[in-house]
Amino acid sequence: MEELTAILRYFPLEPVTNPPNPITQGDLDRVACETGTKISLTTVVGKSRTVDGDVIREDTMNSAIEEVSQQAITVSSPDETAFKAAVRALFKLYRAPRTVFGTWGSSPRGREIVFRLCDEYDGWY
Amino acid sequence: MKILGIVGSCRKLGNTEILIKEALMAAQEQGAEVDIVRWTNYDIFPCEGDAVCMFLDRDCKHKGKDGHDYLLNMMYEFDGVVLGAPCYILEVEAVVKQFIDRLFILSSRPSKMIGKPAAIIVPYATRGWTTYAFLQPTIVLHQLGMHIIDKQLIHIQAMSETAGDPLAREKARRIGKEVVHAVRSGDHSYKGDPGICPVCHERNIHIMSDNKTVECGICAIRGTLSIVDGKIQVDFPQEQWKWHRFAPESLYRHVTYEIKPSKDYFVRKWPSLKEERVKYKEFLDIDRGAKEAR
Repeated sequence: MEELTAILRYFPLEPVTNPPNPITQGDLDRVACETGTKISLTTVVGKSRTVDGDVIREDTMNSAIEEVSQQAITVSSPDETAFKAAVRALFKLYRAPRTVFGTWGSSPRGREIVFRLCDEYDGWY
Repeated sequence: MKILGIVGSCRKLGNTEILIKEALMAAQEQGAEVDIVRWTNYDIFPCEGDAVCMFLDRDCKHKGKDGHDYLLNMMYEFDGVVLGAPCYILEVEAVVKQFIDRLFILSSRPSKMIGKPAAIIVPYATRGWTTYAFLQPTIVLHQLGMHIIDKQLIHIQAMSETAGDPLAREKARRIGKEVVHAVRSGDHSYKGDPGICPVCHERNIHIMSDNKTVECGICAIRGTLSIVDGKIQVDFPQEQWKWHRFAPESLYRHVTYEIKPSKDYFVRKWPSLKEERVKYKEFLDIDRGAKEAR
């Protein structure tokens, strides 16, 4: 079976649109265990990012998508049902990535499934 | 102190113009220097969405060819604004939306209206046809970073009817005085109908697909809906209020993390898209009619 892979990229948006729950390895391990998928987390801090209280500044204009500050969750499984269950569980915890490049690096079929699941929830719930 | 009246209506000496002038007369009586502009006297071409103003840090391609840049810079000279536009079919006249779309330029040239007070006057003819009357005026002022201190719907229909309507004129005068007071005192507290959303004071609440969560469609803050003593109540967590969609830091992060990285995305996608789009270029000539008309 084809290995399905989705990379869900969460950028440091304001608290209203950011994940309503902090992304934790513990939650990811639990979802992976419950759905029988592999899930990992990569945290990126952009080279130019500065944080001063509520104020974040970062020059992202000429950065590669992978180099922009973000938390990227990688989900993979050869089983489509398990893969969908994991993505749905992650959306419930963290909402869906909000941009088309928020799934950059996913396998084509993985990306397609993620986009269909996004549509279940007003596009980005 | 300078107050600008903006008229988003084509009608010469129509109700919008009269109401804005009434507001400015009251502002002038309070010591303000006032001026007025009719947005519909200027072409505002549609934004073409190629974002070169941001990605290439260029002026908008329409700069100097239409009135948007002039009108925007004109606003920057003022300390407060009263914006008026008539409500036609549920919403105000389209010039306001045209102006909003071109505000993409703010992603590379930040607004100089941030923190200044503004108020909205919307005359309308038929009760029940005003559901989204404040939508576009609220968006344009929020996009510019202004603090909206009041909004008034004014029920009026005949040409220039406001000139003989003391109640309508009084509402407009109050708006003019409020904007002057807000500039002078720094008190930008909201004076109009509190509405449902604590930020924009609108009542247009979007019910999400889970049928549990509600969101202010303008501000994007989320809350929960309940019925208390037979009345609908929406509770928006207070910690969200300052992070509404149009707050300066929210807009900065939106541009920084949701728009600018798309440059890299476009560059990487382009080689394949260049080939995939060819069949659409060859299928039907969408511009044929326009060419023939010329």
